[in-house]
Amino acid sequence: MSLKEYLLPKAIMVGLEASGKDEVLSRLSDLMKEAYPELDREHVFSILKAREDMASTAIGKGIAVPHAKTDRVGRIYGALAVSRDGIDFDAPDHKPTHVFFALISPVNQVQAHLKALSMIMQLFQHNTRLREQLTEATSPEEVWDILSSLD
Amino acid sequence: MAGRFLFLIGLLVSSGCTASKGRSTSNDTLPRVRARALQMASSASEPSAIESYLLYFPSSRSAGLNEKLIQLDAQAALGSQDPAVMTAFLRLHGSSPLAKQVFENYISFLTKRIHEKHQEKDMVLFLRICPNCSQAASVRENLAMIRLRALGPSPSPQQLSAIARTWPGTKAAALARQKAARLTVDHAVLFGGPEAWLGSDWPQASPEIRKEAARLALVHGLRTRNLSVITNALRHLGTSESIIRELSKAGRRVRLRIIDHLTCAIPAQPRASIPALEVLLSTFQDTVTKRDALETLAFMDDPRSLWLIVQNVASSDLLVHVAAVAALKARLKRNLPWDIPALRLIESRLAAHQDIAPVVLRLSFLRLLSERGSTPPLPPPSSFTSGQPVLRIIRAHLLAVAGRGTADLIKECTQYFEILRRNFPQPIGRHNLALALAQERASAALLMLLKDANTPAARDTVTRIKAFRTVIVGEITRAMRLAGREYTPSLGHPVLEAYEKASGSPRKCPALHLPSRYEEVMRHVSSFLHTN
Repeated sequence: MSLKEYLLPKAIMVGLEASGKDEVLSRLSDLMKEAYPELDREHVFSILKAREDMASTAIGKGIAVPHAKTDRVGRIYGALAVSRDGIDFDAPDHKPTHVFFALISPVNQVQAHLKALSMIMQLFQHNTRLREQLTEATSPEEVWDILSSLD
Repeated sequence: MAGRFLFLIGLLVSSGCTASKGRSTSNDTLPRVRARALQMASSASEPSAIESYLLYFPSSRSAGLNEKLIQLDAQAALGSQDPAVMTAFLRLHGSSPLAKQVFENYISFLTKRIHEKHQEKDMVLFLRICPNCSQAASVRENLAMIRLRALGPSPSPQQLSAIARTWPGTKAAALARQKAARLTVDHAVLFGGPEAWLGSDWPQASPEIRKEAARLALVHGLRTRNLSVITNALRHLGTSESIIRELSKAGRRVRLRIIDHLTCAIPAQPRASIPALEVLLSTFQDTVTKRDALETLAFMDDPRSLWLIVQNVASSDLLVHVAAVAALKARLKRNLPWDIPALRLIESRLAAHQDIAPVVLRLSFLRLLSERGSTPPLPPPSSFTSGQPVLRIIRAHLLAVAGRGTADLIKECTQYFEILRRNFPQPIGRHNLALALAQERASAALLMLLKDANTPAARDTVTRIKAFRTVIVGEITRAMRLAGREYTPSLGHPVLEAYEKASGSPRKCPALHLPSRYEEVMRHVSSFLHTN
């Protein structure tokens, strides 16, 4: 499995600015809608928010993986937003979150969903500089190139 | 340094110069000083004297002095237990023929000390001076493992990855990689939400993380009243401390709410609800919760729920025991097809425990009740092929009938007597003697049951049974005599007499209408039948 299977260059954003969780999720929903017009923006936002309300998807070290499942999609969709200054996302280490990797998965593909989550976790854990590289990137293309180099 | 200083002073004094003079010595004086110095150095036993000579007269290096210096240093290095001395020798005289000996001595010394003291610094030194030695691999393994252990019980994936990178090819690296992968999965499980919390196909996650994830799911389920999540969480949690903690925090009202939820969910997801009830039953000493859970289990439709009920029949808590028995009865009334094999299994398992023998008896009784179903099936004539099956069938019928009323009892006994009468073997011979004896005992049991049923129908049946017995006892006695044996009819048997005495006089059929005494009936009848 590769990131490119569910992430398009159009679904990448740098310079994310938001005042809190809801705004981050809102921006991610916008990003997804722009990249994948078949998605329902409001639905994406509501399921991401519902999941986030359960427990934060921030995993610490500046990374969060907002994710949710829905029966309205047939495959996994991904979006990546990077914030240079970092945003408070209730991270377990209480540090600002810089990288937001959003995932929307079909309800009936639980295992694929979990594997995607695991892959993202491993990606960041095995590449300790990745977060900094992404944060320093100045354009979505640059982010895409960094991610491509990992494949 | 002190040695060199003394050498210099001695040299200058002995050659008639002072230090200041030394600086201004003429060309004639210098060879004299040098000669004296060479003489002193040659006879010196201190390396510093030779060193000093070589230092002050570098242009007149003597091969002999060099060798002597190296020898003295080698002696010092070989006799030393200090790695610094050995290291210094190797650094200064690494190319000398003695270097190999000192090196080997150094390695041997270090190896011994590593084995004795297991000190990290020795290992590091060893690997630095001899990375390609034959022992280096095991030293690397040990050192890598020490570094891995030094990370403590909760290393981060980054720390583990660093170990794997720094010590490639070692067991520690493999362990570190494995642990890092697991931590990553653990992370995904923990932060993945309910699906990950309860993901069944997530083998890499550690058991602790799975439990923690399930605990999170339970908390979430309780908060959102999501039955499916609660049930799944309880299934994963089993009877762990965390669930007790969570549910204790939740309080009895929430626990009852869970039971309510589960009860409502039975039609939709019966199997999913059972683990939750199992946990509730096994985790709490709360009698009322158990009672409620047992009531719910009575309406579930699978063997597991039956087993849970049965387990609680043996409860020392009277209320739980009564609730379990009531649940068992309610359950058996439903005549679920899989309950009978399940009960047989339960019987066989519980039979091994002497302390719960009464439960086994009760179960036997209830199983027999269950086997009968709503319409008492009379045993087919084909069943009467040997004595033992007949006894079992009779026992089953007597017990089944005992749970009804007098009218039913009389009707069943009469019907049963008719079967006995029709199937009584005649003439009695060696081949059918056992069957005849079994039927005689069965008729005795029928008489015993009907003794106090004081109705015309009962009296009529009793009269007919007695007449039948007169005939068969005569026939059996005759057959036994022919076989050279004496025969005592069942009603004169000591076991039955003992039972009759215990039941009071006149003989009284124990408690036809009191379920609590069924097993007493059964015990006596069973004992009587088996003894005979």
